[in-house]
Amino acid sequence: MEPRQRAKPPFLPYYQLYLSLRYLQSRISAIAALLSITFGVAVILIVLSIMGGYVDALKETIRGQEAPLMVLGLSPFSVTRITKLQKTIESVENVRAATPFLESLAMYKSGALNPCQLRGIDPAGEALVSDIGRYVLRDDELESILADLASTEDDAAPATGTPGGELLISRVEQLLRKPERAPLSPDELSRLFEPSHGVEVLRKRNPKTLEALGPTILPTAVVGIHFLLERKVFLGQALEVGTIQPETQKPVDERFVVGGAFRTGDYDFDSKVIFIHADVLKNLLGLFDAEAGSYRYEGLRVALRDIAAVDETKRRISIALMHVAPNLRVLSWEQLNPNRLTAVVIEKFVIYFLLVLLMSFTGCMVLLMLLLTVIEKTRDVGILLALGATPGGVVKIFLTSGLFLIAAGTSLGLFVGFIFCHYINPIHDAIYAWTGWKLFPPEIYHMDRIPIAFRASDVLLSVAPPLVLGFLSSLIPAVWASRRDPIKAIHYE
Amino acid sequence: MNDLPIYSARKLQKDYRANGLVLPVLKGIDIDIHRGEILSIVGHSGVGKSTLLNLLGLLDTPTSGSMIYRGLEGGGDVDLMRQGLKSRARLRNREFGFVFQFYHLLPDLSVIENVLLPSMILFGRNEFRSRRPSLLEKAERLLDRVGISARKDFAPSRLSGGERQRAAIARALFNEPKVVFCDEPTGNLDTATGSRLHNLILELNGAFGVSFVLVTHDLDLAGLAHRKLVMLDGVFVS
Repeated sequence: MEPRQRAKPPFLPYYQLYLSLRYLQSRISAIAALLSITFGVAVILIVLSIMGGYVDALKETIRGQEAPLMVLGLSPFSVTRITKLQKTIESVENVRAATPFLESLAMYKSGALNPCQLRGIDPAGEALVSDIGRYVLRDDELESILADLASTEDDAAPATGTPGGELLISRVEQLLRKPERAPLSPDELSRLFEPSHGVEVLRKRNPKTLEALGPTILPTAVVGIHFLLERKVFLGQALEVGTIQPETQKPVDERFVVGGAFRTGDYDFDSKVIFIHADVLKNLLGLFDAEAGSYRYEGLRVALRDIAAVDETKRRISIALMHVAPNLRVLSWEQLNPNRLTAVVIEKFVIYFLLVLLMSFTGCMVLLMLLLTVIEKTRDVGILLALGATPGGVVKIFLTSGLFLIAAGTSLGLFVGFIFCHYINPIHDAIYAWTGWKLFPPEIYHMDRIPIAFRASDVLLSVAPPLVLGFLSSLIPAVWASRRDPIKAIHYE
Repeated sequence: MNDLPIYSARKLQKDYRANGLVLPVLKGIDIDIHRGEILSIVGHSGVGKSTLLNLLGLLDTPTSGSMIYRGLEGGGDVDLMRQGLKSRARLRNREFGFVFQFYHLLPDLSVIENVLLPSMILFGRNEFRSRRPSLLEKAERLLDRVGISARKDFAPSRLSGGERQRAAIARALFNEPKVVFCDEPTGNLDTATGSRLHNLILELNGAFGVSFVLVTHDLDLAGLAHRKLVMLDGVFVS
């Protein structure tokens, strides 16, 4: 057994690793602690990823619905001389396009009366300022979705809110998100709202009404996808929509042909909003201002070349408009939707804080498991000290046990979390199909699919609590073990 | 037997304190351990035999006195009173072996793993792995020597008392110590098993030249020793 006089004891004597792993084997409490760490890490990662995904999806849908900047009057429908304003704004640096818009609350009649929001847009201009081209379905795409809808078992039941409907929504999502899919061009969008398109849809889908209409031509309405999937209206329906003129408070109505559909992913938006041509809406609402000799609008949507310079551009537009129309406000989309975003971000951190609190129970479990192991192994500690182990070596045995548990639990937790997040929508659909219980109701969260976003910061936030708590939970029993008197430990019963 | 003892202790005192009272257990013990001798310490329960063994084995520190060890390769006196924690641990691992009344094998390890334990403490991970074949061979040889090689992969719980004590002796000898301290090694064994163990100790002492310090009530075992010390009330009386 040479050499007798060793210069230095080894940094990590073999027994430390050997015993630390041996003490974990075949212990149910160790498996329970491992599972609790795994579960804790996975839950934190899943929750943070969903919340992160939700914020991203919210931003994306808001961006899709709204332009980065809006120019609004001080009161509704007070923006006149729109062409001049449009030119002034478009002359500002970094502005790509500006287009007027109108909005009005309305009711549509399809069986019963239902509320909706009419959005009057200039289709070609809107395509330049928002992502509408990405959300509106082409005729053939819509036809294929509706063919699937027709094949769902019960034609009378709404399709969303049933497992088949969930699958349809994910099909629409896949269709729109195909990387090779080009957004609808301004021309394509304009054609969608042309009378000839409405006639074509009526001919294909509702020839009887076309016949009954005779020479009357109805304007086209493009509805949110849930109008169709929930069977509130059908493609080619002559839809009666009523609203109130803002100035005279007189009720007015108009019939539209349901001629297309869009899907932004915001459930509320996709089940409430109907796009019609701005010219139709401004006449319906009686917005001609005889004094000014022009129509009055709600405001203008402004698209930018560089979205990062939104604040600077906002300031420049304000300055440019000061001389033309000093009563206008320029707002960014974040200013228009402040509560939705901050609420979710705050909610994310509140939930994280609560989960970390729950995670401390997992820390306690590791602490308890190791304390029990130390008590159970008190005599072993005494024997090891007698055989030449140092108190520091004893610390390392139990510390290694704890750290191994934490490392394994955390890695497993990350793996489970990633897998779960990856398949979260199929899992959600399966649970729904099985139990009829919807965990993520679109009516509440405004999303028809569960959004997921992985961020390095969220992964860090998921692994930090178990690592810190686990280290402390392992250190305490380890140090306690090393402080045991070897003689008492040997005679410990 | 050499003239100069490998281990000498002088005026060893050990006091315990409880509730403000000082309880002297060892009252100035002088003891020499010679190379290769079997030394037995006998006496009634509570006279301080085990306390003395714990002090000599560096499991505990005396209240006063001196302890000199001369067994290191290259010679020289090692003042055991001046050694730090790590140095004392190294001496326990390399120079001394321990055999306890209740065997004290680690229940999570097999018999052969228990025997290898002192070398696991001595060597780092890589060195242990590179030496593993020779260490295993040595452990098997030792187990064969104490007569339980057939039980090497058993858990200690499946061994009889005598077999466990043999495994404990093999473990104590594994790092080739100079002195093995035995605290009532036959105290938990029946007479026949105890007697076989006596012979084993004699045989190993002859084969390896290791000094054995036996604390015992067993007069037969004490009778085998080269020297016998009788302890009474914290001092040696003969």
